Amino acid sequence: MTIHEERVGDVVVVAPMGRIDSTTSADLDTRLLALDAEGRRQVVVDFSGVEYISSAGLRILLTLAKRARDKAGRVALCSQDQSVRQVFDLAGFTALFSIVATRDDAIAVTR
Amino acid sequence: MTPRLQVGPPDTAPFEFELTGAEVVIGRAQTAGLVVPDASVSRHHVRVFTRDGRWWAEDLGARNGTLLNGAPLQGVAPFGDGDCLRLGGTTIAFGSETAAPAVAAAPMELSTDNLSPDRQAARLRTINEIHRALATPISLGELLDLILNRCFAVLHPEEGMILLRGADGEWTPAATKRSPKATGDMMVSRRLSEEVAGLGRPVLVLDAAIDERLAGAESIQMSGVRSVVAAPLADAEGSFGMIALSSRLAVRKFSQEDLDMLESIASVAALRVRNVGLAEEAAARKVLERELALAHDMQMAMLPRRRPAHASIDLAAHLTPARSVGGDLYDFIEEGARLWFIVADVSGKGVAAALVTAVVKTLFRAMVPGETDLSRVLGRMNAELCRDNDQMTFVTAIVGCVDLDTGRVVLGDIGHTPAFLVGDDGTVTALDVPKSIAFGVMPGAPFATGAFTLGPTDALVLYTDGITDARSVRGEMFGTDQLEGALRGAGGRSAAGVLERVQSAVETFASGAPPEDDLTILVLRRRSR
Repeated sequence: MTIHEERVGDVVVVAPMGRIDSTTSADLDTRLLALDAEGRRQVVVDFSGVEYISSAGLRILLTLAKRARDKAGRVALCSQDQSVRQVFDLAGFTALFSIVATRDDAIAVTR
Repeated sequence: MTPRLQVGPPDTAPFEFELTGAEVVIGRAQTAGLVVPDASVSRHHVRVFTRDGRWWAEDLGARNGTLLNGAPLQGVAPFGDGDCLRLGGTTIAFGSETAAPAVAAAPMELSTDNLSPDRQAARLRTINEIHRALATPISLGELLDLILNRCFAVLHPEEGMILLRGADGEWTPAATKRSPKATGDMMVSRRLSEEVAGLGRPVLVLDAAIDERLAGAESIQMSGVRSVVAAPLADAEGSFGMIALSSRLAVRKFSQEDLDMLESIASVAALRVRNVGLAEEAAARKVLERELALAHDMQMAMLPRRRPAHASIDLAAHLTPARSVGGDLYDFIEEGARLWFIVADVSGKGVAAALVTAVVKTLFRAMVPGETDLSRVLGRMNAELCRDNDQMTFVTAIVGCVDLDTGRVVLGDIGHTPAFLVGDDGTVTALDVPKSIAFGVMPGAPFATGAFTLGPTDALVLYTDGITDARSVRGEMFGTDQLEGALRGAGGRSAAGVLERVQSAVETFASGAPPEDDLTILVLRRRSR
């Protein structure tokens, strides 16, 4: 998995490419923690390149949302395909996140 | 013949300075023509110059004064062959005796054969000493420090660094050492590490600014003109690192002889570094394997060993553990004519996940007895699993209770993959039970449950996503459709028969690919009495 990153004003868009499973989720965690350490509080996770996410990946996103809650940050997820969306639905996590259709919407939500 | 000065600084190796110009100012300032690394020397301490075919020395008003052949130098005095100046702790002798290589001289080809017998013996002693020192069992970090210490004792650099190939394949500093007098940071340029560690070539750089091979290497230039000597650490499989030593040129200039010595040290050190490195890797792997084995044992110890005793229950369950991931659990409790059951999947892996699995089982066992309201059980389990959950470890589960007399089932789906009902005729129905959020995420979350009747010939199938996410060698996932397909062919079979059918379908699909996640199935049927 590679992780692309783009900064749009104060918002950081993180775009993992590939499978977010128990092996690769540690890389995503490292990247998100680095942004947190930098004081970046407005984060978009763009799923357009994500084929699959396991429960290990979900846990990383939960920790991201928890940090945002604790530190008054804003997080949005976007561009999830049906299979990824279904993993969020199954775990009952859809309501915990701002999940929007496009990257632009996600940037607007976190601004 | 050009006259020379033999410079003997207090802490670093002696060196020679050629008097190529008409005068030279000696001092510790970088602007001095001959820089001496000695704090007790003034910035511009003494001037040596030629006039009328003779050489003279002039004290420039240095705070600590200057001695000429042991007597204070006052003003200007003749300075010639055999004379010796003393500036602070530094001696400067006039003469052409060659003790150290000249600063401006080109590198000389010096092989062991050209060394005097005394120096050959001294070098062998040093190598032997290093060999013995490195033989004591120590950690990789200690070994690298020891190698640098020996290099400092023998070659007197200002800075030294050992680079090893990192996990990312880049040459990464693994140990550094500097003399107290060193200024600036030691930098090993990419070009130097590519040449030495990458290509396995020892390098003696006399002057970074004029050496063509490395002239463009910015980091060498930025840290000032330095004398650098570097040798690869290599074994039979090739180069895996390097030792680099450097000094400001004015302080210490390395010679071909120094490079030969460093190469000897590097070849002795390489084998030991490789061995200690491999031993540490093996030890780390062993710890990891022990942890995995422990997690596996904990997880397996959690599973029920007996089948339900009640005559009218037909239950089969199996958990196939994955090597590194894990955290599946199943359990059941009999309470008279009622059977409580759970299939759960803890996010995470290793001992941490196994511990949470133990907590889930304990909570389930503690909260079920005497309870009639499933949603209250679920709410209490969630409250406990949310407590201090900074890592956001969550648990998905199907928890239910079946009345074995009536077949009435109450079921809660806590963020889990949907359960299936398989009829006698092979009809497969995904159970429509209200979904709740996974355990451990939202304190106070509501837990709705659903109810249905398990017919006398129906099989209830619970599983974890290890089944549906199982991958073939080509990377495709088994998925819900193929699971339903396997179940359609299992209508009317016993619980064990249904389980076996699903297992073999997944195994065939994976065709030998090791499971990436635990696989758990639990099948429940009522036995007619």
